Amino acid sequence: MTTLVQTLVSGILVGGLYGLFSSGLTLIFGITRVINFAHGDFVTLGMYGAVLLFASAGLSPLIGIVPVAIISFVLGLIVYRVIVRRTLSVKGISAVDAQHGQLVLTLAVSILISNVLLMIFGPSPQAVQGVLPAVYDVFGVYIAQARLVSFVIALVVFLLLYLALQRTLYGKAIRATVDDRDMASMVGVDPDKVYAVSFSVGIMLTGVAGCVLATYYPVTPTTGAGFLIIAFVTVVMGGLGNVVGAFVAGLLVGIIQQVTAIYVAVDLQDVGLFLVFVLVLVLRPQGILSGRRASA
Amino acid sequence: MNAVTRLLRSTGGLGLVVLVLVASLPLWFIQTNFVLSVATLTLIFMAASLGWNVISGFGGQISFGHSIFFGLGAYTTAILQVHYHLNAYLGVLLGVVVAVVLAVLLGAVTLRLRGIYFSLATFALTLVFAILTGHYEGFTGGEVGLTLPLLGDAPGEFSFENKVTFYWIAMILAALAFVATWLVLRSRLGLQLRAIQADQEAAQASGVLAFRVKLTGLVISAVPAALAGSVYMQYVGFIDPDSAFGATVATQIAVIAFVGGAGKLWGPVVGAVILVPLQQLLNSSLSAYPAGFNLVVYALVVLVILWIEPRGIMSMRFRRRRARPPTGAAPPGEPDPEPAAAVPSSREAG
Repeated sequence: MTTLVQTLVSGILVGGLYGLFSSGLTLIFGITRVINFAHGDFVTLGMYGAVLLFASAGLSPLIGIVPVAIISFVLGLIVYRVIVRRTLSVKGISAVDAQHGQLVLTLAVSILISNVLLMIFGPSPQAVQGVLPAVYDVFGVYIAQARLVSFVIALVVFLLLYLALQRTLYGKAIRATVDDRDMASMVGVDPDKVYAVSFSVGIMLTGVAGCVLATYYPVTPTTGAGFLIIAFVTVVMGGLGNVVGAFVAGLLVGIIQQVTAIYVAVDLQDVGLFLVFVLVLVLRPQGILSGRRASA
Repeated sequence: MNAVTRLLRSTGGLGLVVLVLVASLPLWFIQTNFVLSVATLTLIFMAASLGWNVISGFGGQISFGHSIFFGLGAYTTAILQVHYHLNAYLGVLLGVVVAVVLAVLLGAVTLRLRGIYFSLATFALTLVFAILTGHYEGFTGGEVGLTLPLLGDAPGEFSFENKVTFYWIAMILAALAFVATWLVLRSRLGLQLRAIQADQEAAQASGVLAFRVKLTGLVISAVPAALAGSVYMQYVGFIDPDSAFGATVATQIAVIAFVGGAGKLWGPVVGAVILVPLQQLLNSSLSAYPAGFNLVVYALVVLVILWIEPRGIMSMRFRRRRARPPTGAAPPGEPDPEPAAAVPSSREAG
């Protein structure tokens, strides 16, 4: 029983971070229809940002969130303006061709980021050590301070995102674009601006998640590949474009992973996840947490 | 002059010229074993990518899981040879059989998905294969991988002392894959696949059995990929889960075709000739460049090419185009040099 509770708690705590970077991916997809294959590598970038700030300036990752968030936002803006937007401006290109182009372009960005990191930092794992080292014992269930604090930060940042989407004008413009892009642009929403903002915010959330994750998860240049597929799984489960769905699915994904790791085999933790993913895709492609019927 | 132009403008003529050129390369261009191995790998991945083009290029079902067939080809031959001492050629053949069976099974599930969902499902499945081959060590060698026994010069066991033989085998494989995709493109099946790519609903309304056509396309498309995997195994003599089913191989096969031009007959050929040598020549294990440098350059080249033309090199419009021949000069019945270009470009997202 304690094992089960321990497994669930671990799953939920790591799942919060999955939820945070996946809500970034789903935000990007919902607005721009871009399948961002570089998403996992932006998590890695955030993690290296935290490691670098800690190693060079002694800055705790909890404060490092601010510079990392700003830098990720700018990086997202650059990737959107320079690379993604280009595919939309090619003369006579169909929507599907443009999407395939974006897919391969972001894939190239992913290869670029992970290998530039490999050239700079080398293949050995790096970590922020000694921050939040305490471990709490709650009725026999162990909770690491770093994991708990990371989860709380993820939750807070996600709630801020949610409030921003619900309450601010930009948020409303973004939600309007998700619902009906043509109608939104007809009532004066500048699609290019909305695309750029949501892409950058999506990357920013990813960077923040990476930064916090670095407090207990060692990073290598290829760490992002695992997060990419986790983000895909999460986003599809939550329903593509559904921000709240993505966060909740993130928790679910964390739990599935932990349960498989504990009760089946550690190295098979992702197999359980991927098989659930394919099942979800086949049985309920609109996502298990989305009330909407699938349009395709 | 006119005869030469005509020859080069027909797919068959150009293909023949390219084939003769490629076949003669070891005689005048390829001088070192290193260049020979780069050229052989180029042809192997070209074949896999040509296979990909059938379901993903013509049919529009973008697969990030062709590494499944590549890996199955490689692992089947390796396992049969290492554990059961089966004849290598028989192993290659059985590799294709296994890949075809898996193509039917996986296709039955995934081909019901549309657009990006299909891509994500195939991507997840190939990673499942990678993890499972790593887990069941007794059979697959686990993360360490499988190494073929060194047999020296044994043509009966697919082992040749002279590496040029592998080059020519890879060339024949790529040529066969090219001819196969060409035949598919010209066939009724090719037309149906392109119709599905353009608009599946409209195709179905016109009587195309979309699911059956896609499944046939996937099966055909798995064969060159599996053969490429088997030949890769015989040539390199070593396979591990990551170089068979990993994300790098999975995306590599697709990226080659995208860079050349997905859905274009010559796309995978052009893409492989550019990308595979680029990746191999700058490889850190073989040269003085730091680890990761080869892939940084690789990524930048892909970025630049797709930034210029997201549809790939075969869609690029070059400034100095040949003046249009005067009316009547074009020989009747001349096949379109880019048959896939005839596909209406107004495709709907699935």
